[in-house]
Amino acid sequence: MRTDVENDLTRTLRAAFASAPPVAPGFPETVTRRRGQRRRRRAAAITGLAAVLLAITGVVTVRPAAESLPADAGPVRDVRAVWPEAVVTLPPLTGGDVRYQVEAALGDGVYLVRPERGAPVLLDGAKVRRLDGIFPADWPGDLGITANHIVWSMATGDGVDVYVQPWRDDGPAVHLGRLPAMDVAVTESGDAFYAVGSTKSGNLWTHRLYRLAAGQEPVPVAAGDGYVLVDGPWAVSGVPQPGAANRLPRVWEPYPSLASVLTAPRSVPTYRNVVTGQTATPVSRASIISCAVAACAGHDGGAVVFWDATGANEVRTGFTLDLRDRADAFFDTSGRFVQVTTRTPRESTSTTTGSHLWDRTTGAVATVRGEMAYDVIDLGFDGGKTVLDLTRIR
Amino acid sequence: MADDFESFVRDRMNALVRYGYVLSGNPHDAADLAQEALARLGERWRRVHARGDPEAYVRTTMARLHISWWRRRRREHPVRNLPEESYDDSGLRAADGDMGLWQAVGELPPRQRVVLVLRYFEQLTDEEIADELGVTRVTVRTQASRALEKLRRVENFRVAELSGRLC
Repeated sequence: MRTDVENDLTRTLRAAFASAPPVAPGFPETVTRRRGQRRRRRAAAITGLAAVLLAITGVVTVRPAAESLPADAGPVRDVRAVWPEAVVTLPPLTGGDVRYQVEAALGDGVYLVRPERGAPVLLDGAKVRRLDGIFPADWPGDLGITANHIVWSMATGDGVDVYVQPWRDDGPAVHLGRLPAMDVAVTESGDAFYAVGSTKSGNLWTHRLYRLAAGQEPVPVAAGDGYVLVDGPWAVSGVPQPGAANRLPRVWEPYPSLASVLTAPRSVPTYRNVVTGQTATPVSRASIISCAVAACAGHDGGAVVFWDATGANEVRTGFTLDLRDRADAFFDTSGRFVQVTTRTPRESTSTTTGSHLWDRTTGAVATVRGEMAYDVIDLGFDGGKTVLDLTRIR
Repeated sequence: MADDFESFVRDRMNALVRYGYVLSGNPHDAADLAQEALARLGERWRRVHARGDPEAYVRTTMARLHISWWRRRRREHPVRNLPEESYDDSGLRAADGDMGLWQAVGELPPRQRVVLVLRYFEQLTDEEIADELGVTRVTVRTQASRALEKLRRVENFRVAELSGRLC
């Protein structure tokens, strides 16, 4: 028998269907355009694979599809050709899990991967270390990385349970505590863990900082309230949604998100270290696209610029972005590598128009198909799961 | 039923975007979901059309896309409920009433939300939902149970709040 909430839910969903906004003009044409884009992407992927195979034999230099290049970029190669030493093909998982997403490169050939179904897995060479024993079979929670631990959380009842397990050895999983929150981000400092628990009421998020230790109740740290972890122990205030220190990519997300439209540049963030209380404000050298604690990416009239948070090591590239686009920059954990992606505005189809990976140390740049995660970019499945492991370019 | 793909798009786009709205809770994602699912259908139109129910194919694709898109976007730390994205409709507000159920549905994890939409809007059985999403029936029941528990808390809270207001 149906309960009241089930009946209310049926009525609410039907009302939502009935009162949905009308279809925007040009909808069929957009579908046609997207079909064309899918065909071109597929053709480009086939061409790219063929080019990579040729590149492996040393015969040809790989060039990306022209549509993914900024106007004045000149010939830019694929990441596979620029950093071949960092391209790694990972084995399939046992138990029939063919498809998985690579979440993190933990160094020394260890990867944290998330199968399409089921619990995360550690891949260490050909060795697969399953974490099923500590994750529920159908684990719907969030995953993160700290200096020494995998962190995962799971909403249960009126809170979120937080667990950690060391990834450097086979140590056991530990229940760190339960926070009265809807979303949790965790960072690690020495023997202590700090977590920001975020709760939403209406459109307003509130953020509370806690110190966590196994076997103890979470201890509120009032000085950290209002901050959201975005990069290890570093947090920013005034962010309307939870960002996770250990959820990646490590990017500062200001309010509002649509400020990432290049014509509405972001303001300079101020970071606060929730462990030490130290604050840091990056020097501004150009209109900011995004910052990490170590570095910023921006543009000057559309030209892509990178600089250290101190203002040093400014690199003005020859790349020009279309100011009508949205742009995001994602840094690796060292701040050395930065991925800049551009998309058409959301009002159309949010199509990715460019995606480039830069090495701020050497100035090398390459096109990349895939998203920056924790020191790794999942390049997809080319006869085997392939990643760009940034820890191999140090 | 429309025989060619373009006619199918024109005939069914309104219903599909509305379905996308129920799945995603905002008009931009609704259009995005419908467009992407239709673009995928276009590539397989002859085969899917020959099987007789292209709309079911699109709806299944939309439900799966919504879960996977959300996972990808979460890594980009999107802002939920952007002011630019808000959509206010008096009819929906009336249906939602003071319970705030629609808003609460919007705050569920997408997988839970999709399960609820398939179960209470599409009226599918748990077995059918499991087939659609490629998960087990146990998973469907677990997701639905967790989601309903959250919604019950919202309703109880609202009821208590209203009672307090009336006293």
